Amino acid sequence: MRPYLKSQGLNVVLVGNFNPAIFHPSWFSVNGLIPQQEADKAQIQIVHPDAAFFAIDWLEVNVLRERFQIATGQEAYFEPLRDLVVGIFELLSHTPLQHMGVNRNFHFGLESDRKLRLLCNRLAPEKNWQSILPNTDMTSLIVRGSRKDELPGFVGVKIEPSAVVRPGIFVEVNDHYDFTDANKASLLSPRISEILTNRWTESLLRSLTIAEAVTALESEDASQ
Amino acid sequence: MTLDPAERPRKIALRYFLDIPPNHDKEGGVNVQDPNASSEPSSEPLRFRSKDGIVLFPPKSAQAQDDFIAIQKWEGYVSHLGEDTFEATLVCLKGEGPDQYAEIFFEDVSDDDRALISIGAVFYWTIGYLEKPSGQRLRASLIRFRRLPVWTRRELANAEIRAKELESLFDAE
Amino acid sequence: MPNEQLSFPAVDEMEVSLFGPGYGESVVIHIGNNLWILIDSCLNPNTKQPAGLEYLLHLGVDIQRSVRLVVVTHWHDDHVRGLGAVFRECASACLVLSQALKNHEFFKLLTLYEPPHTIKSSGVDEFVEIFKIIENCNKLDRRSTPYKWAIMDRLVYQEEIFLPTGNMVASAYTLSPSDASILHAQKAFSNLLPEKYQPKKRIQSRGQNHFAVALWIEVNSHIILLGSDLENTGQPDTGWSAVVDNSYIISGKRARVFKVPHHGSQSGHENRVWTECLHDNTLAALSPFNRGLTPLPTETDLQRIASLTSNAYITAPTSPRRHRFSNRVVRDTVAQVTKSIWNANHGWGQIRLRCKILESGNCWDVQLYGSAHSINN
Repeated sequence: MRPYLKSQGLNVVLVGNFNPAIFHPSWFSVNGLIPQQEADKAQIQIVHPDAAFFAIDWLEVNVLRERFQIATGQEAYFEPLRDLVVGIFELLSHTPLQHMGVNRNFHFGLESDRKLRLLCNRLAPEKNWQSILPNTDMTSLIVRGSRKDELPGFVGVKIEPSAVVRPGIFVEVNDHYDFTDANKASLLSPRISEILTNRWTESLLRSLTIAEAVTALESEDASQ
Repeated sequence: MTLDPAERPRKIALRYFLDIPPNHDKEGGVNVQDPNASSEPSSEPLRFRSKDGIVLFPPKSAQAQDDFIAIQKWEGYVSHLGEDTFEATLVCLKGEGPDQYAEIFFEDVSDDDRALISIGAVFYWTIGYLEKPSGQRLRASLIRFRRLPVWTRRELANAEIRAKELESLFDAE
Repeated sequence: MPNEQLSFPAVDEMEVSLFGPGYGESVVIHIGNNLWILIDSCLNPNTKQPAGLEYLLHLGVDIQRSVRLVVVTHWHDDHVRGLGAVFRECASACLVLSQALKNHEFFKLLTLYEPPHTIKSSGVDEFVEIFKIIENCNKLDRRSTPYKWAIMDRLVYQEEIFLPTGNMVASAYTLSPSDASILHAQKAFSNLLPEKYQPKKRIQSRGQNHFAVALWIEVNSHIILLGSDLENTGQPDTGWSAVVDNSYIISGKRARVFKVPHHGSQSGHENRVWTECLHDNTLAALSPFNRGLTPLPTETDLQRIASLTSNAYITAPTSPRRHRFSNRVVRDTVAQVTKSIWNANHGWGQIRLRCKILESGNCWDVQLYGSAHSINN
């Protein structure tokens, strides 16, 4: 049985300077970013000058002074989530921003524990650790590589045994963009719009390709 | 306990603080990093220190999300409005087949989104399975219209300036 | 592409190739001596590349040097997909575009819908790229006058070509838009501009087909009339009426090759074009338009064209086709949610016409590739 996709999620994280008090569901609906009904039914944990956390049925919003995160676990809402980020930072175009991550995560079910061990062993070979530490198991691995486009940043991959499907593997791909060299933070909103609009498909395809390549390592035929 | 709204966030913060073991912000203490949490480099456990010095550790959302497994997904744009349907071009984002041209029933659009149906409006149509946290699996079709901020005075003014630049470019020839 | 399709035209051979999927069209013309003209652009549905450019690259043409003109007949997205890339790659080409686009309202439209704006718009984004190239050329002082504005009876290209077998003179004239059409354009684009607090949507690039650029190309005695999407408006000073009544370029001359305007529609038809501007049994080529509940050309249109010439060809089928989704859930859901659904783009064809420039009369050879076929059969 080949690895099967059990669930996936997507989040966009921005690092910069935010005012969490703004991010109340009613602000979203008043600005036409979500329907009034969704705003009315939002589960608000806190909206405070230091933090804002709320959820609607398909979305979680978490905002701190230095960090903005918006996440969904439903693939049907990936593009609406993207539009929401674009819309928010069109309205807040002068928000200073330093980094952006478009992060997609996958939980793949595997045929057996043996396949899981095979995959983990391929990523972090036990034999390399035998003389250092006996009976090792990979519980988490993070690698980082260069971007293939001209944008500053990197692509990171995190791999762990899945906590959602057992036996299974969790893969998260962090498509990271670095804006710290930008001369003017206020010019970043259109830049973010451009990345999220014109490079969106490419980013999603990249993360899927990476995730599938990782899961292919569970195959007996995969090269070492 | 009834709280004055202005006081509410601070008092909630205090309650959370008291609920948490004293070494909660040490790595060796409570496992604040959930398994399979984001590896985003700037990601830290969802806690922070406010200017009042109180560390808040908001609980995770109590509502587990449904999973939507998409089989087919299109981005569409409306080109014509009929009596009970609207016509749209569908550009394939996931799944099979070339671009489509379809007449879609209004009733398959949610009440909230129906007001957004107009010529030129953009939407996403996803077909797949919805998996509830209970494990129940349902066939699902979701049409969601795109929402963006409306045109602002500033955007229109900037376009006016740029249009004049282009006029100068071509008038100079 | 099969080998024969990729055979290079001889230096003294003229070629007119019309490419068309179910949505979009592009024309490639060889005027002799490895000199080319590109008119409009559409994407090959299989490769997603600009069709005209792709064809030239497959032939081995040096597109940076050998393309003399890139003509944009109008701004509708079925005629401009990939045009930015075409103009960028064809570094020596002069761009010809309708004078009706040279107005403040159209420039404002471009800016509002310019990438990285979030709305992917109908054709506007290609023009944004084109104007950026022109701006850049001006700054770098390259490409003297890289563009010309098309108006009625303007000579936009002329070159004398000396060959061992004889000399050739190639000329290209724009027959439209008329002065009245240019005036109407401003109001038309103004109606498309959004207002403050209106929602952001995609522009619908339909209508205004009396601004389109019809082209008249002469190479020695051979004449081609390319009708673009120019329509009849019912007004004598715009559309085809204005051309037939007022153009002195076409006066007394007849073309043997005709790119039928506006996908063969009734509104694109002007009988006097057939009776006064074309030879009998002219070679007629057209591409379909398969988006919309009424695809073009209709059965009536096909019968009309077939009655006017026995040499009419179309690049792709007109009848709507349904895609059978292999996934049962998708198939069932689509059947429930839609009243009707069909492929927006099906078929991909090329109509290729070639003739020896130094021969006179009707010496055109017709080859059909892909889904291109005769209307008359």
